Amino acid sequence: MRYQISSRVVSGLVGSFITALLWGQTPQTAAPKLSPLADEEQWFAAISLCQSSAWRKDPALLPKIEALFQYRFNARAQHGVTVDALVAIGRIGGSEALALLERLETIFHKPYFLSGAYYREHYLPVMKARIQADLAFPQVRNSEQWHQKVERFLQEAELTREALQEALHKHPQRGDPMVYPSRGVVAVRVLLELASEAYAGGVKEALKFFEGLPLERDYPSWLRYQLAPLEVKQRVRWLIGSLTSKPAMRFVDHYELLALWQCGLVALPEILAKIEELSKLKPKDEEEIVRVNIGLANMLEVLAGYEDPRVEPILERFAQADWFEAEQLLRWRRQGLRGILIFDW
Amino acid sequence: MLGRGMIGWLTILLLPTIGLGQSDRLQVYFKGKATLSVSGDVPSCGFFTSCPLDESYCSSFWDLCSGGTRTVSAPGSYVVLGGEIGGSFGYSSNAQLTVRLLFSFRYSPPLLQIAGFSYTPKTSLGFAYFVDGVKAGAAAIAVAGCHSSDLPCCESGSASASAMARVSTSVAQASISSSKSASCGCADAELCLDCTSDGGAQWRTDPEDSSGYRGYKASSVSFRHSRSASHTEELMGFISLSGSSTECGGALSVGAAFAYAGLLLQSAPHPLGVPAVGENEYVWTSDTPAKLEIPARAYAYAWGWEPDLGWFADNTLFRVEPPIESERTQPGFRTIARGRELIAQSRDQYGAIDDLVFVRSHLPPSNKDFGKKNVYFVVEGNKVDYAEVEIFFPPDATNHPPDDPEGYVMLLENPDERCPRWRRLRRVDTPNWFYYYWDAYGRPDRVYYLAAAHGVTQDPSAFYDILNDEIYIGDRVHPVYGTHTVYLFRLERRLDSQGRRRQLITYVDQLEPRGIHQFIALLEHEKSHRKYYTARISRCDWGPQQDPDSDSLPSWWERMHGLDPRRRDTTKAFRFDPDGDSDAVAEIEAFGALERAKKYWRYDWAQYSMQWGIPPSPFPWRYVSSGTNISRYDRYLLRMVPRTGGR
Repeated sequence: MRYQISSRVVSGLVGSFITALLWGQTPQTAAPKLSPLADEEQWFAAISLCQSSAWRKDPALLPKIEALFQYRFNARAQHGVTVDALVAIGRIGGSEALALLERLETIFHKPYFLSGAYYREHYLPVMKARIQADLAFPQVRNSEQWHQKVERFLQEAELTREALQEALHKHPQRGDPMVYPSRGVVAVRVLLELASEAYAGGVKEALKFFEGLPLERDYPSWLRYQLAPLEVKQRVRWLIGSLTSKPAMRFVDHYELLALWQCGLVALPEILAKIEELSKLKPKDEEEIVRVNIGLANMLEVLAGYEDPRVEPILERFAQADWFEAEQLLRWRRQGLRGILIFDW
Repeated sequence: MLGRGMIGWLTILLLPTIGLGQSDRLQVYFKGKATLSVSGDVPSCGFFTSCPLDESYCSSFWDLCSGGTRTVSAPGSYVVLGGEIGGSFGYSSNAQLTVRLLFSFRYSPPLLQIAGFSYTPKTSLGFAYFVDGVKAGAAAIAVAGCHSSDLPCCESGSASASAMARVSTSVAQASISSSKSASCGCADAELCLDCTSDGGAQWRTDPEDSSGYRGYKASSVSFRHSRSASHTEELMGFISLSGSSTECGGALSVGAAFAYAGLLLQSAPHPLGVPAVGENEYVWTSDTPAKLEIPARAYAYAWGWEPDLGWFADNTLFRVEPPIESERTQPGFRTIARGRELIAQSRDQYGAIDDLVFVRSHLPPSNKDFGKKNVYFVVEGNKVDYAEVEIFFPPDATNHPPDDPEGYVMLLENPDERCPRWRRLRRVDTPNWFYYYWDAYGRPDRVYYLAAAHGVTQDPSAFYDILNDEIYIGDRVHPVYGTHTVYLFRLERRLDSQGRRRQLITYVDQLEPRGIHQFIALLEHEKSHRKYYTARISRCDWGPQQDPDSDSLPSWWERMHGLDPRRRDTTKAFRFDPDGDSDAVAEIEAFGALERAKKYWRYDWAQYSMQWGIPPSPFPWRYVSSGTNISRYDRYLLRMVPRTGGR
């Protein structure tokens, strides 16, 4: 025992200091701070933004698209938003888009980014290749330029025509989108988009590149290939015909909805006319009833994607007639949400 | 100084000293009051022959010149009383110094308000009240002779002196007395010859050695009804000195009483720490071997003196209950004293290391080995106090025991066919989160960790391998980064694709569970797929006749159970999602199972997960419809697949 009375005050202070250290227990490390999951409206809006930006090709929208990667989407929505964002960045193009893709590569390395490796491996190289090819050949005016553009694209994506063929062969015919497209399939989809543009610009040979490729194994590719040689009005007619004659709606059929919406305002009068036509039908045969109902639901879905004063009254009319789909579409539309939502393209 | 009949009370109120224990949760204060009562002959306006106390304290004593009682603040948690009186003729005095010790505790309860969750934090605080250096000493000296201070000589001389000292505390006492006497006759009264008697001095102490008695008792206070509590003790020193002599005799009496008191409180883990708000949480390391360190210490509070805790250390140990097995150390094999601290030590192959250290070649085998435990502070076999702690595992490491479930990188061998055929490409280490969630959920059969899928690129989240009857689950339900949500449905009457008004399963809400609940939800989802595949209701190879909408469910079954056989997405839940009605069925069953498994949040011991830190709630289900943990549609939500009979 040490009776150091004279130093008791000092020892008391030291004691209190030690005690403060000892008793100030806190968790050893803080939990990582993650933002809450984005709600349905947010990711609906995200996909709408991507889809509309993609067709406007407006670089000013890139920051908005980049901001989407600050959100955390639930596992089901994340893939849709990510793919749509990547495709949109590729379509907008330019050096700013290229820089954005570089930044995203870092994000895809983050542990919380589910399937980040997939996007790095299969989408990023293709979108970068597309941008490089577009920068090199902004407007394809002849067959030679087209071939050069394709060559440049494949080179940048580190692919060959044989690789595309193999990728399509491996792609499931069943069109189960849970099986994500591989780099080769993504590249085919991008090339078809470029070919459609070239074809529309007068380079009819552009589609020849795809002859012999088993496009039927990837429905979005097959659909785009079918639509590419058609005039816009022909496309509209073809798509409306297909969408209103389906015996059932499978997932792959939704690509047609997206394709119809992408035809733009040209399709609107035809859609409105089809809705009126189908509304007046009184089918009796069960198969026919199904076709009409599914056809009407499809037309309403595409209709809801347009900015036009005629849209809401029609949706309201169907909603009042207890059309569940119309109610839902109207609700989203009134929240300012547009676009035809498809999962992986 | 003799001859002054004096009754004195000297009261000493000891000044409040420093409040120790600076955490927000607990503060410890001491306040002492010393009362000195003096009766009889007061020596030199005071009672101390030595003054180990500070000046103000001592002067308070010396100022008491007329005896009586006086109370002052005590500057420390001790009693030191000493007195000495001597002279000729006679004296008699008594002095009692009582120091009343008031130990106060101020408690700040944790603030945590979580809907749907109540918890009861520990509100008792145990401590050891200890006393050291308890000692009484007494000495008496008596001398007789023929000389007096003034002539003439005495015919005889006699003297007697006695001293008694006593110290008493609630845990140790000491008492001692001493007396001496002397007498003689003078042969020549004129010359003061031939008479000298020295009775001698006798200094006696109790105990005889120098250390003094010591002792402790375990005690506790409760904060159940109040934020403050106190504990009172008394230290009492008593001295009785008396002596008498003739004119040619002299007596001297000396007495002293000592006792030093303090408190010993568990300091780590914090005995009032609340794991529910993120305190007292400890995580095994990610290494192999795995290591867990839990500080286990106690701190001595003593005011005005420095305790030596060596004797306590010999009788103290810290232990964890339920016990944690350590393969390579002996946790808490001894306790040592270092300054004012008692520190548990563990022994490994290199020697002793501070604190409780557990080392295992792998993490403990079962999820039950983590979670809530108590770290006890034990003295001589008596549990003085304990701290509630929580033990976690590092979720991303792979140092769990090397047995099931296995993890694999999978290869889809036939991407071009309707029915997938999976092959295990290579085995990988399963992360701890998967192992312990799987263990906590009853070790379900044929469930594996999915690290990645190749062949075609495949969402590495989860799937049911129909050919091998195996379920694979990946990082989609990672305890921290997982983003799995559960879709919720109810029945609504609406038009089907055939234009008939029917009860159809309709998507109405989403649930965002966390941690182990995500794992359970996804596992139950896949188990539902297994059930329907096994029952041959769900098939990947129905043709367009039986399954026109390609959702793996035959039309007849869909009609019977509130689904539209012509729409792969009857419910409108999977509008932007590849999965159709078969997933709606799986989600309904997963939700039913998840509701039955609500209690499992209590078994989630992954770091950063449901019970880590200060969670938004330990039971943080969030329904998107309401933003709370109760769905707006709660009454109507489907917990099992309805049988609508086609109506």
